[in-house]
Amino acid sequence: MSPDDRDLGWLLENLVRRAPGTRHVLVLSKDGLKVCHTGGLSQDSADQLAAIAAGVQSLAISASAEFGTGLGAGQSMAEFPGGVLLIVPAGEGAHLAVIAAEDADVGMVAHYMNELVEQIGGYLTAPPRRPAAAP
Amino acid sequence: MDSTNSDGVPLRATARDAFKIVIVGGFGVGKTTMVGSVSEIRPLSTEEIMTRAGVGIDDPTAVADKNTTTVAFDFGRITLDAERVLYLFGAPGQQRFWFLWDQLFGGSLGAVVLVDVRRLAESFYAIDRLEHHGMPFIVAVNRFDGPRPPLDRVRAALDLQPRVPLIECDARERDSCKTVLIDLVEHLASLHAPETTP
Repeated sequence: MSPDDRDLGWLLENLVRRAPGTRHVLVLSKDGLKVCHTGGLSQDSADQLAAIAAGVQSLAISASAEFGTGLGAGQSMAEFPGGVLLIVPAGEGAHLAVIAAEDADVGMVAHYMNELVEQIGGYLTAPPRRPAAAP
Repeated sequence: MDSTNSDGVPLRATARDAFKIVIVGGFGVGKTTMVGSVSEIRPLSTEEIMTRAGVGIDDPTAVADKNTTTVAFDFGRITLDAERVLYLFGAPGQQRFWFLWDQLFGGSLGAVVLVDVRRLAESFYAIDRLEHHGMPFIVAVNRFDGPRPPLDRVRAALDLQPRVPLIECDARERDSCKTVLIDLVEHLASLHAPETTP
């Protein structure tokens, strides 16, 4: 793990401390792989959450293209017994996902998530593997 | 009267029978391409650019010019005739999205397994899973540039049962994909037809 990764991990842990009800925080690439996450999330759960969140966001963007006014990368939320999943776009090629408690203040958690992306979104990235094809 | 618009062909008023069909197969065999080329409506596509997070996990070296991958599923629709409409769901190929397959399989009548003969092993999981589910399927070999082994060798290599149809197709060609789907529907019909005495 590079110092950068450790710093990012610390910032994600900080989100758990600041936003009440937040359990896990994960940065994922848009193609569904974990980039970094908080310590309470096991490697296996992080892998699973990265794939789930990428799928949810991709379908949400398809909904936006079909029914919205533009190709907006929005926020997604899924509620289920025992928890809430929130996802917001982060830096290039990446999303930020949070698992929060069922009774968490979702507006507050989302506010902290967006604040984090505003502050350090430039570091929460997953750049393309291949540069865009030359014309 | 049927009419076309910019987003494709509207569902015909005479449509009666809807068939949910899944298209499965390994990473990069052409599932998204197939749904995109055969769909009469603007296909739902959930392709994302492959990122550096996938280095060492996703291996696109065998698939030239592959820069994107499906992260949820593809969706499209094709009307076969006045009454029969197919709803197509293209499964994601990479292992980390396999958990989605169960939901896609729910309510499906049959499946197309798309195969790239250069990477036959990529197809084993799909075939195993369909057999496990007891879902009828046909196997379509997507023609890529490169070796074109005879179909009986492909059948042997995949250890396919004789009753499973095996055909060739070009996932980029609408008519070729439509032929695959018609073959699947005929196969499904034959499975439900009363047995003929020899």
